Amino acid sequence: MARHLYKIVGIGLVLYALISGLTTTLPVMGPMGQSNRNIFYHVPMWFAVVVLMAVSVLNSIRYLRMTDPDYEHKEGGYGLGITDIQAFESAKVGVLFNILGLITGMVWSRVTWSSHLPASRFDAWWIWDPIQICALVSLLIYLAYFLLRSTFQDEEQKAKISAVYNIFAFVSLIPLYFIVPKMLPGAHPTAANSDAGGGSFVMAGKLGGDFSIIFWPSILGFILIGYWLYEIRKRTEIAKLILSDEA
Amino acid sequence: MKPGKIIQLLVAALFTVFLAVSFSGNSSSYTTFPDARKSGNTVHIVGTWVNRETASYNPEEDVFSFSLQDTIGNISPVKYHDPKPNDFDKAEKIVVIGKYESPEVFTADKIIMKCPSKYGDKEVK
Amino acid sequence: MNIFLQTQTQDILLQSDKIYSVLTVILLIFAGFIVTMIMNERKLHKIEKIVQDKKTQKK
Repeated sequence: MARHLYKIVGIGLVLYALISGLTTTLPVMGPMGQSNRNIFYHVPMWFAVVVLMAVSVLNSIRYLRMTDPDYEHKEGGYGLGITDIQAFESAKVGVLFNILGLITGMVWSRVTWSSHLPASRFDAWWIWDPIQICALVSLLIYLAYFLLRSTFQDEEQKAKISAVYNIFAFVSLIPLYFIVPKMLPGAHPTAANSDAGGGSFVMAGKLGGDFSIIFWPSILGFILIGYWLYEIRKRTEIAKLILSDEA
Repeated sequence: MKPGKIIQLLVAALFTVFLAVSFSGNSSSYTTFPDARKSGNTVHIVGTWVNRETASYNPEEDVFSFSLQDTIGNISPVKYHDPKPNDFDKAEKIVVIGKYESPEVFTADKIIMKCPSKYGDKEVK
Repeated sequence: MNIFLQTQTQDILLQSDKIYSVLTVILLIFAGFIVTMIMNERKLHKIEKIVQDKKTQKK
C-alpha cells in the first residue's frame, strides 16, 4: 500500500485541481476572463517536465558513472540496462508533458492575446513569443535525443552516447526555461516587460490566495501523476528487457 | 549509424538552428516609437492605450485609430486596419506589430493583448 | 473604478450550467486515464512475479 500512496495523492490532487479550479469563484483579470483558470493546468505541466527531465538526466549520470564492473551485477546483472531504460522512459513522459504544455499554452494564447483574430489564422494560435520558441526548442532537443537513440544498434553504445547527449539536453533547459524567456520582452506574463516585472514564473507575491490554494497542490498532483506514468513505462520496459534476455 | 538516420539528425539540427535564428530576429524587434520611426522597420511595441476618448473607428475605410503610450512615455497615434478588437478596453497593455508607413501614424498590422501577470485576490487593485 | 476586476457574478460561464458539462467530460477523461493506469499496474504485477523468478534463477 505504501508504494501506491503517492499515486493516490496524485489522483486526489489533480481531481481537486480540476473540480475546484473550474468551479470556484475567482477574480477575472482583464482580457483573460475565465481562462485564467488555465494557470492550474498549463503551469503544472511545465513543472512536471522539469522534474521528469531531472529524473532522466540523473539516470544518465548514474549510467556514465557505472564503470565499476561490480555494479553491473547488481539488479541481477541488469543494472546498466535498467538505468538506461529509466533515463529514456522519463524523458518520454517529459516530452509528453512538454507537448501538453505547448497545446494548453496555444489554446490559452488564442483566447487571451489573439481572441480578436479568426481561429483560421495560424498567428492567432502561435506568435513566436520568446517563451514559445524556447519551449519548442526544448521539445526538439528531446526529440533529437530519441532520434539519436534510434540510430544505434549496439545497446551499450546507444546508452552511453545518448547519456552524454542527455546531460547537454538537460543543461540547455536552464537557459531555455529559466533565463531567456525572463530576460526578453514578450507577450507572455513571465516576459521582462510584464506588469509584475517579469523575471519569475508565478511567485508567491504575484499569486493571490484564491489562486495559490489550488495552484500549488495542482503542481504536486501533476508531478506525481507524471512520475506514475514514468514508473509504469519503466517497469514495462524492464520486464521486457529481462524476459527477452536469453529467453 | 545508418545513413538515413544521420540525414534525419542533420535536418533536426538545421531546424533547431533556424528556430534559434528566427528567435534572435524576433526578440530584438521590441522597441519604442522614436526608434521605430527612425528605423522604419517592422517592430513590436508594447504600450498602454491612452486618450481613450479620441479613439475612433472609421467603418468606410475599416480603420481603427487610437493613441498608444510606449513604456518610456512616448505617445503616438496608431491605426489598425480592422475594427476595434474585443477585449481592447480590458487589456492593461497592448502589443502593436507594424511600422511607420507615414512619419506621423504607426500602422499596426497586428495587435496582441498582453495579459496581466498578477493573479491577485479580489481586493488587489 | 477598475476595469480589470469584474466580479464573477457577471460571468456567463458559471451562471449557466455549461461549466458542469465541461467538467464532467474532463473528469470522465481523467477517470478513463486512471482506469487504464490501474489495469497496467495489475498486468505489471503479474509479469513482475515472473521476472522476479527469472532473476533469482539467474543468481
